[in-house]
Amino acid sequence: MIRSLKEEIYKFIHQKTSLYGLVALVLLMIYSALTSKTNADSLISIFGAIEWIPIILIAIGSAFFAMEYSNNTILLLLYKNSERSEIYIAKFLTILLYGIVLTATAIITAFLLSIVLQSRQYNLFTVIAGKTILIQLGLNILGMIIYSLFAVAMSFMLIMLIRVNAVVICIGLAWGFFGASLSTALMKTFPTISNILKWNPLNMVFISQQLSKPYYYRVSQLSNSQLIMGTLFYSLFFAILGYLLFRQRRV
Amino acid sequence: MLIVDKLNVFIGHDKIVNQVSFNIKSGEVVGLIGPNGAGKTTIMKTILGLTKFTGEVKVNNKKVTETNHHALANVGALIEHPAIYPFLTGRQNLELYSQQSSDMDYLIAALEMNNYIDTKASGYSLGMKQKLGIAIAFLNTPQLIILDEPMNGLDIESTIKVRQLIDCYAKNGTAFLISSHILSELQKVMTRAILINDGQIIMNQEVTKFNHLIQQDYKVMTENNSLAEAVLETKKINFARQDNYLLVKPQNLYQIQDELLKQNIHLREMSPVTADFEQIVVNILANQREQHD
Repeated sequence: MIRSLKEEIYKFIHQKTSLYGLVALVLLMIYSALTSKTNADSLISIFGAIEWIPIILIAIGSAFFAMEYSNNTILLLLYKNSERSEIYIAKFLTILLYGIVLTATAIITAFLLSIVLQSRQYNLFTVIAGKTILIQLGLNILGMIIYSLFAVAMSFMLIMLIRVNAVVICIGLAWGFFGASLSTALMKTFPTISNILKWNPLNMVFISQQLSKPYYYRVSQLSNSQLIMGTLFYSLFFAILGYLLFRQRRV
Repeated sequence: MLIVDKLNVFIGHDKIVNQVSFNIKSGEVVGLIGPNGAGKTTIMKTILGLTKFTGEVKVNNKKVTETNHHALANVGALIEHPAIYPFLTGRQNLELYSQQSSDMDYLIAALEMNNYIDTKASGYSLGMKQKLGIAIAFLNTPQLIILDEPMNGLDIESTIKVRQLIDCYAKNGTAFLISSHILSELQKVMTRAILINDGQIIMNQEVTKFNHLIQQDYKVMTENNSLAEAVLETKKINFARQDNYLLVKPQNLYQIQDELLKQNIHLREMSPVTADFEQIVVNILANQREQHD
């Protein structure tokens, strides 16, 4: 397992897409800092990184798996490894680690942006809406990490199901931007079954915002703990489904 | 080294491989020959545990299944296209699987890849990629190497280098299963040939024994070919014309000599027409088709 993980990390580091993802994140954060209001909320929302990181992970995660098929290296990978699960888990962990790198980069960039572009140094212990900036930031980071797990699991499942990277990226973008509003619209259209509909996977997008802003509860209809459990459940479900599809896929 | 026993592979309802059984011993170089769609690549993939199958595949007396590849730890392979990461250099591609750098350096030198091994593989030509794919298959001195069309895209010099590498490894005990459409090349390295058609083995023989499988014609040149032709026609002995020669069947050779001498027609030349391996295979497949019809 360790060998497989090392191999995957080695390949991932040498791919330019990993660097592109990092650069894209920083550029999007700078764009957000330049075009939006400058207040403590920008720092708490990590200059939009909360929304961008899962989308970047979906795009890069699916590409990372798809390239094994397009380069025919999947054959070598499959026969050299005794277990298919080892390949799947190693790839999963690699992208998840990349998610952590993106998160760390986003936090550092967010602080730099607030100092350089907004000329402000926030006191992290300043209380805003009943919580310190530090706690709100921490909750957002937690939400982002859980949402990243969900995004990686979904991207792996989608690439096994659809097999076309461009389509997976489009679905990822649509999920990130319209998932929450679609879910809300669905619950409003069928209010009688909203107790069931609130558990739909699109509703899990709220994890990226709700932990630091509990008033989102009125829209998502899920408490923070329900949202965390739901997102973790779907992450596990997508990951297992993706693995089963990978195991069945002919080469 | 390799035991394949009653192997069956289905794709949907189609039986792609049908009751295939064969063994390969250490140091043997076995050619897997057959027309397109005969099942060669499927057999190779099955040995590598990449497809579902019934029957038994054993490498070094250890079973290979679709989910258990422990027996393949000492197996190298090149299947269909070279498995190369284009964003890595040739050396980095090798390093990914190499256990000994000396082994890697030997292969780089043996296949003359020094000039480009440290550049990104995305810029490689078909032949360069093929050589890198072959080097990956040979890494860590495997006990069994499976090569599917290894000579694809290689120039003459590279083909010779690969042949020498196969010879060298085989002498050191590595077993080979190789498929190739360039039978003349395969003929130069293989010790045994397995002929496959429609997913079934139709022949499994030492290469030397294949030469006896077809009747070789003899080409005959006489002092006066037109007179000789007239004699053979009169005696109702079959023959064909080819350039300045008469092509005759070996079983008629003594009778022809007698008849021509009786007419005082002397022979200038008489020699067997050597059929190449390609021709033998074509003949066997044609005979099989005729029997089916």
